[in-house]
Amino acid sequence: MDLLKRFSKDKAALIGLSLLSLLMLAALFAPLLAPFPNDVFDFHIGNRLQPPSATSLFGTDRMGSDIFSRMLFGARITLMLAGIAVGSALVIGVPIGLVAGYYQNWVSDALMRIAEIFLAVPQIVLAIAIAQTLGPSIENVILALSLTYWPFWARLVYAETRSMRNEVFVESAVALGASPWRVIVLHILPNIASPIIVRTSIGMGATILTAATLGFLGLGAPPPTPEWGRMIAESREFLPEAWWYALAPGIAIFLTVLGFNLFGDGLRDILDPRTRRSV
Amino acid sequence: MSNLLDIQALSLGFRTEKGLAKVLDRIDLSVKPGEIVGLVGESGCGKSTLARAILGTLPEGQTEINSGHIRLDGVDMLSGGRAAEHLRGRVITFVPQDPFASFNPLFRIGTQIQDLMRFKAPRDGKGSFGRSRKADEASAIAMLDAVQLPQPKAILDKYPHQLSGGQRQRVMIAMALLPQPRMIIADEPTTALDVTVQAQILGLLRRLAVERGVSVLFTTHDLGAAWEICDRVVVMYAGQTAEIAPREQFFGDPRHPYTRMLLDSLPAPGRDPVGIPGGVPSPLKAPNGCRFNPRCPRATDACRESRPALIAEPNGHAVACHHPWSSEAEAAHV
Amino acid sequence: MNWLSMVANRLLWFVPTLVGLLAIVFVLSRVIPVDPAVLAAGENASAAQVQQVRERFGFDKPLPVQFVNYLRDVAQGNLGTSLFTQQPIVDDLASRLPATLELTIFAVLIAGLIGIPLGVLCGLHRNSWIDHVLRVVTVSGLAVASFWLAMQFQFLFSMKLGWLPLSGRIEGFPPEPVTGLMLVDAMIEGDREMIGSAFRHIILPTLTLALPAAATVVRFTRNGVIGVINSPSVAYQTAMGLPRRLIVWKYVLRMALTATVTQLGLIFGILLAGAVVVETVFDWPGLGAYAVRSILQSDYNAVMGFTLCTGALFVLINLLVDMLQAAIDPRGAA
Repeated sequence: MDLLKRFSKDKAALIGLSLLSLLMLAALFAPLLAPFPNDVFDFHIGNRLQPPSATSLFGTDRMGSDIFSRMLFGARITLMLAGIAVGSALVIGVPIGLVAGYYQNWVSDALMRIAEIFLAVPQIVLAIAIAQTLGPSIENVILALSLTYWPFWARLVYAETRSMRNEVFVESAVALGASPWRVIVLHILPNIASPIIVRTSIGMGATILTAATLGFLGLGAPPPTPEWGRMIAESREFLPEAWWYALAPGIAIFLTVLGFNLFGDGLRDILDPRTRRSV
Repeated sequence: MSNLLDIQALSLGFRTEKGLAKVLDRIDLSVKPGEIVGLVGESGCGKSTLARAILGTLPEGQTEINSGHIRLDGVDMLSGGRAAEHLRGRVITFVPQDPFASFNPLFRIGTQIQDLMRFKAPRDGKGSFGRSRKADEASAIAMLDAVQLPQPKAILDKYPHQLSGGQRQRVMIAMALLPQPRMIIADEPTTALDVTVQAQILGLLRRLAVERGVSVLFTTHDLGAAWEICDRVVVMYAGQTAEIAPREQFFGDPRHPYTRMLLDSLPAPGRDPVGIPGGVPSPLKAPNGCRFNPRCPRATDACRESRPALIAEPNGHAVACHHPWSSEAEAAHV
Repeated sequence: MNWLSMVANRLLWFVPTLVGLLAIVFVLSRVIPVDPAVLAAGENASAAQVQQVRERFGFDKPLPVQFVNYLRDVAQGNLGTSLFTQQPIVDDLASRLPATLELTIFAVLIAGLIGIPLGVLCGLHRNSWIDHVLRVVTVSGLAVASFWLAMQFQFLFSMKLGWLPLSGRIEGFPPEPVTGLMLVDAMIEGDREMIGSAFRHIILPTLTLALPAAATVVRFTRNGVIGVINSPSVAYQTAMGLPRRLIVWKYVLRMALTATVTQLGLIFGILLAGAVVVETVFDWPGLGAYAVRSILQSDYNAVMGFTLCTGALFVLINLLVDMLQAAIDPRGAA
């Protein structure tokens, strides 16, 4: 309760939370909120590149589809894509980090070396290589993001586990004969959960930016999927006349990433006092 | 003899998220010229806060001073004026608790001493330009020699991490003495050191202070250390002054129940050490009256209602307790 | 001694890291959904021709053998031939590297020149209006998609206002390549018009690239300054009465800058990743634009070559940063 109270005093974190709530609502109720829900697939060439008006709030695109409607459905794709990618990266990275940090032998050394090799290249570069190899589709973008993101979690959890390994309560649990599995799940994991949760929020923001970049470069889902990055890429050839085309999806990406970053900063302040942003 | 340092009824607190932490509650303390005073208490009793208040390093914007004053040589040290600023580093200097963290790790010892001397070294009437770098270096080397550091010239070229803990604290003592101060605040100066080095450093500090007639206010949680070097001992408990006594009376005839229990908690031949039950109260929820009352075997309703005043006897022994021990009375009782 | 062993240790890891990177790239290039032999032989090749190519390039050998062959090829500087340019990929990459370097070098300079002073300002005046404003700006700067920002810059400054060119590196004939950095080469040639043109072309791409890096620098420098300001070493210097300006501009600044240098590797990572996108939007003929074009044309070998080249560059930069870090921090590789 004390934590909730502190969180509710943090203006920036509350802004983040509101942005994320808006995003969730948009994604959840996209079919209801969208004035032209069929515009994800339909096109009306006669209506193409119309500036914002009362009927189409953010204008129409090169196919004559309503940009606002497409953006709402884009929120679904963005959230699903980043959620699954970050989730899978966690599912791969956290156990590897836990095991490598708990047992200190050549296997853990080898695992961490592999993670470091992945981390030796900027994530987007590897993700581009993988996504390009596999071919453009949402599944492959998710795969590329997960495959390049797990080493980050492995290294984080490894470092946290290593420092937990020497804590008295862990050593005494080991001395009392608790199985390694039990020690890891019951004693170590709950104690390193805070930094993981905090970085998950910030990682969502970073992943959304990377995913949008892949979409922009033509590595994402094929058209007519209303992916924000791809929408911006499509708009390029219509500048400067169709100024509104890229505006809405760009702001949507900005607000989403901002939401996750602010929310993560707020979480950090209440959950992870070591790295606390100075008050 | 008038007091060099004079603290009266000092109350201050820190604003925290959970409210005001009343860290010091009407503290009285004085130090005479040339006197070595030990400020004794458990961790968290407020002794370091008191040291920081004198030195002007309390956290800005979070500190609330409620009452009292600190006067050094007649100058008000709390108001933060230019006069107080002028005294710091000249009349009053500092030996910190953690000599490693207190050096800047990226600069040579020589640079850090030189910067101190540029601003704080005593200048004779010719003004601050009358003294050259060479002379500063010579007096620095002489001082490092005085704190018994071998090869003082080589030390100037070293970085802090290249010295041992004991050597670093010797340099700190040298830096505290270089401005030729009248008073040194030593805040737990041996806590971060090996036990074998602690006694040497304490002995050195006392010898140099006595030789030069410098007063020392020495905070510690180690009664043994207080016995080693102090002329007079002040006991603090949870931000309140409990007892003030000359060294022999403090150890021979303690009056405050807390002092007695503190002494009983020391290992001694012929008896087992007795711990003090309970813990130091949080300054956020300090008990009313005497703050020691929840842990005190002699506590009565009076102790919970009103705070005992610090009453001084003519021999300089002062105690703040409604039910102090007195050796004659207890002897009669048994 | 310490420094040398650190560098030796890092150099020792440089080779295995590169081999690991090669392994990843190799695995990727062999799991592609297309038969590499078909790819190399061309779309219209007959089955016999494909088989011939398969044998010639060793695609029929077991994977480990292929990997060793691949390592041998890379060691000899052979990354294959681009399907699009029909040039050796090594030559393609080498001809585009200077453009990317020019962009990243200028971006890092801008990020530092803007980020460090602003970070120091925020750290010294924590919670002031400037700190709050810059916090909003940096948080926003890190949330903007750089390709979108690049497009908005183009829209505003080139298409609407007409102040700056839309894309490319220069108008008219480029200067004689000496350094490969067009702005520097133009200066060497001394042609004012050429310098002006190169300068106007580089402004928007550099700004787009530098913005997230500058935001990161501001945050690190700010937090570094705050960390040092609250450190025992500054508390000690304050207690000793040293002037604030000396403490801040000599001691705190040096500490904060040393901490920022450790983040240079991370910043180069941001810049290399950003270059891919920024070069594409501004049609800047560097590695990133080359990679994106190769992606769109399914030029697998070229993409792998780019990945390898960027990875090696990044590893090399991190090595240099570590060496720089060890050189400016007397504590050595911490």
